[in-house]
Amino acid sequence: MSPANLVCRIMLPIIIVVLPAIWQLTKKTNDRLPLAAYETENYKIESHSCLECHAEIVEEFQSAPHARTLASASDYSHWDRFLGKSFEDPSTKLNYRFEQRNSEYILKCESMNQMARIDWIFGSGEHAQTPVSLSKDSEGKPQLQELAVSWYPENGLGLTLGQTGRDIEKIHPLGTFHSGTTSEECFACHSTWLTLDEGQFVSNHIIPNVGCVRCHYDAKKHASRQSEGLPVTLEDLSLLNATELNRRCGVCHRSPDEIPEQDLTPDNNLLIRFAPVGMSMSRCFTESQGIKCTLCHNPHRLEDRSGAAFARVCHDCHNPTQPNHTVCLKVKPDSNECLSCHMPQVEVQDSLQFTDHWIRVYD
Amino acid sequence: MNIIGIQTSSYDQTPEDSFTHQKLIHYILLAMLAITFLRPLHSSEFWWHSARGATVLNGNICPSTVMLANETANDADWLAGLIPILVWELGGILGVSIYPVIVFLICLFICHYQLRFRRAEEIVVFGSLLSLFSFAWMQPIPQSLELILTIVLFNVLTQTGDKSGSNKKHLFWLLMCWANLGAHILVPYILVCVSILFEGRLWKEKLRFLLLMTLAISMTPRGLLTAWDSLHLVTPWLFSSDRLMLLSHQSSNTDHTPMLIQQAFLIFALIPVCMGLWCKITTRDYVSCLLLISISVMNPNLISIAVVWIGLIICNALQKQSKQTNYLIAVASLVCLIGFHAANRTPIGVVGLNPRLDHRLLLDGLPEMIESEVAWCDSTHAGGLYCYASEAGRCWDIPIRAQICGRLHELDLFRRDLIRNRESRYRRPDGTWGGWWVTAENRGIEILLVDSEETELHESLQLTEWKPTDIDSPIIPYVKASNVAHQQELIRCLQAQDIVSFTDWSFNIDQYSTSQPYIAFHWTGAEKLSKSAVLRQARLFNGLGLHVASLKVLLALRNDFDPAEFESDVRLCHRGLASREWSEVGLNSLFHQWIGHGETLVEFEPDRKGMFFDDDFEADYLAGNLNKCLQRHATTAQENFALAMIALEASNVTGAIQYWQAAIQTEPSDSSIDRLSKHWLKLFDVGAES
Repeated sequence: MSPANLVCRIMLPIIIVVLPAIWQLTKKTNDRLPLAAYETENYKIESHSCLECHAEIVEEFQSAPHARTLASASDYSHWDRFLGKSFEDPSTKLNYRFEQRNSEYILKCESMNQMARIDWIFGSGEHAQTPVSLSKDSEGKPQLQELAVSWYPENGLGLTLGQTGRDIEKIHPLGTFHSGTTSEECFACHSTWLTLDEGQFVSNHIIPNVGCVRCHYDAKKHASRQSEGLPVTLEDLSLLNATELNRRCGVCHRSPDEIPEQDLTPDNNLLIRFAPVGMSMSRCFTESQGIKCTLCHNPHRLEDRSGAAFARVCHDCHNPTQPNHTVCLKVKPDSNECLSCHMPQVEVQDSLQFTDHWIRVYD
Repeated sequence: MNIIGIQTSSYDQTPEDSFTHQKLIHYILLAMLAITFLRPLHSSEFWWHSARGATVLNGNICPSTVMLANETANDADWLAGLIPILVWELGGILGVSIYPVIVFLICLFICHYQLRFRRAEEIVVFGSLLSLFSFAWMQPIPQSLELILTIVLFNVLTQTGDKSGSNKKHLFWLLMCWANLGAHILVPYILVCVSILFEGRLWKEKLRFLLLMTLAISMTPRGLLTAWDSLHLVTPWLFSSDRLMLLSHQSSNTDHTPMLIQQAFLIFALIPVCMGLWCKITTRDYVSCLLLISISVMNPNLISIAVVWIGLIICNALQKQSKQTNYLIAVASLVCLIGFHAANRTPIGVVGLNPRLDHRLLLDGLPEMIESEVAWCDSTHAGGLYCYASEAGRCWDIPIRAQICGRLHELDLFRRDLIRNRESRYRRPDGTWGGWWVTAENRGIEILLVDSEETELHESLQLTEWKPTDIDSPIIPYVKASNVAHQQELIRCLQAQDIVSFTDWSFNIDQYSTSQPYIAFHWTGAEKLSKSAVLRQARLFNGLGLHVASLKVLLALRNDFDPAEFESDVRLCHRGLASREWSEVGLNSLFHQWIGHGETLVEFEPDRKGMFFDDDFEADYLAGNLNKCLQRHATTAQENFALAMIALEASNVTGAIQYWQAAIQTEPSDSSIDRLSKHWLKLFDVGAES
């Protein structure tokens, strides 16, 4: 065999087998693609990053409920609402008390001599604030315990939503456990950015509260381009139609397409919390070009919740000069009491009320 | 006379006797090799191809578009399902059982008469290679035809001289048939291209030839895209960043080639490389071997076809070797064959289907067919079994077609949303929307089909609205609890769950083994099969949250086999029970935490001193000697509680109730055991007092 032939024969397996194998081995594999946008670097931006150009809105936003949806126990500034106070569950007769031990905050069930450390507080306080505890299950995966006692602006301490009427022998006295992935969903709606490590979210790598980027998806790109002096654009949310906006808000506040059809009935009280669901079922929504959430709500600030402010929106259509629209005969045409009949506050649980956004004539 | 003075056979025997003697040896070797193909079938594509074949027999030339709601592309290999369905319908279990032997004999027949492999050594070497590496493709699936066609292709390509015109014709028809019968058409196309390139013809002629071959493989309902589809199957790594390479971890969703075979192939691959370096084979053969080795290293599913081709080249080369060399190689092949099957504990002598392929159990738990409903399947096996068993049932998609048509990522995203229980909508980085609820609604997905081995997915689904309609089938159908159309199936399943958990139901391995879809001529082979099937059932129960039922099955295993093999599963069940105690009652018993070896979930851990929770007790329990454990005298509430759980596991509900009641009465001050015992008594609708 000639040397050239030999060299050729030696090179062939290297070129055909070895090199492709090495290329495949060294090719970057996607060990885990981020599943959700809020896990990516594009969402890792806090609201104060927008301060330089949008100072007025950012400062105004600090008072908005969206800016206060989540707080770590160490950063929470309203412990006077919990500490030193007790509560008794009327159905189970279990006694609870909030205490501080050194730098930790504790919920103690005195009847069962059990306690849980409070790690986070969920909620802006407009409706409620619920403490939660993070721990690991028997397999080392994170789990969240939604503690049994929450704070309500009207009456102070009360049972957390969904934990009333419990059977003492079938429940964990301190609250309900949620799996790691359900916990991730809880944090996802109450924060701007969070990260996962081996499928488990890392609770000390969270940007809490609902920041600009959760609604303005391209905010980070916008800010980067601005800082580089490049032409900037930002998605104009006013161009979204009512359904698109309803769905965008519905990512956290729930959408009607996430509810089983048989449950989409006006007497289903579980829907009351989900404003976009009720709104999208209303005739005001379905028989018009739709009512945008932003017609009544400005997510950038703490809004005026007076009946007059909301009634102005109703009167835009429901007034005598608009012949296609029904005008209420029970009150004066310019009355500000529309909501009390057509969008009343409904008590879903003791001390907890939500406005029923399913606009209708109640029986 | 030989060298030590003994008269040889040539003095006493006639030439005819010698010939008969030789033939007898050939037949014995042939029989031995054929027996190695009597193994239970395990291909996860069997039912999918059978369903496709049934659809084609009903007059549809594009079966995938009929069976899959998300499929718009025609099947190139539309005839691929004919062999499986005909073998199954005409032969039944016996037919599919002996099918690999028939394929083996056909392969040898072609080798003997076409390739002139006349010597026993060549048969032994080739047969050993088939038995070692190619059984996966010799089952009643289209790949078996592809193996046979590979040998035919080798025969056509090795013919030389004036037959080039008829060779062209033969190759055209061969490739055209192959394209319609098998999905790996790209492999023979590459081999043909290599062969043409090394021929001494003008480039124009070569190009024309290649165009003709390209036309041949495009004569399918898929047309020119046939090669593109095949590229997805042959080189999936080009389209996915997930590593599929030899010796890397592969998803359990597919039929992955066992690690032992992959390692053996790497060693085997050295043979053609050495032969090429030593010029024992032509450059054309050398290049074709290297190409096949390369694509098999990247995609181990192609090892079968690569070994057939390389084996033919090796056997061809053997014809030029001395008899002594061939004898040595043949003996070495036999030794490797026997050694491999011994190490692998191959269930030779067991004919029929692997219990994973048993379709009978699924028929009981299959949800009622509703035309508008579509099923989502976790694997090709699940989807194929559903399509076959339900006859008119449709899946949204199936991994094998998703891979071919580049939709695997979409399938994977839905699966990940289910595993992570991401029901609500969330925005993905690419701007699309995740969340399984809306996706399922939009696609009409009302049924999920999950392989029983996918314990992670089963565990995740327990937290969702999806509930199983069966608990012992190889694939578990799930329907939504809010779907009123399937309430009856859900209720029946719940009743079955109650029976296995809350009654004196016990698991009998002998009874279970006799109902399996295989016949064992050899006990040790069947033992491995039935053990793995039972263990799968135990793990399925555990994944479904039926920890007590899982322990009952594991008890049967511990009593029949070495208990040490199941220790980790037993501890896993107890960890599940401990976790459930904690989340449902807020308390933990010592027994579950101790056996489960889990982390302490409460601040206070009861002191074991003075109780019978010692090493002997643990050893007895793990060994399955429950009667011995129950003979222990309980003096504390914790001990009574432990005995109650053991009695429940031993299928003695009455005894368990008595122990729980005793636990409550023994130490009324122990509020944790008091609550836990009452919790269990409530499940049996029994009061705390006897």
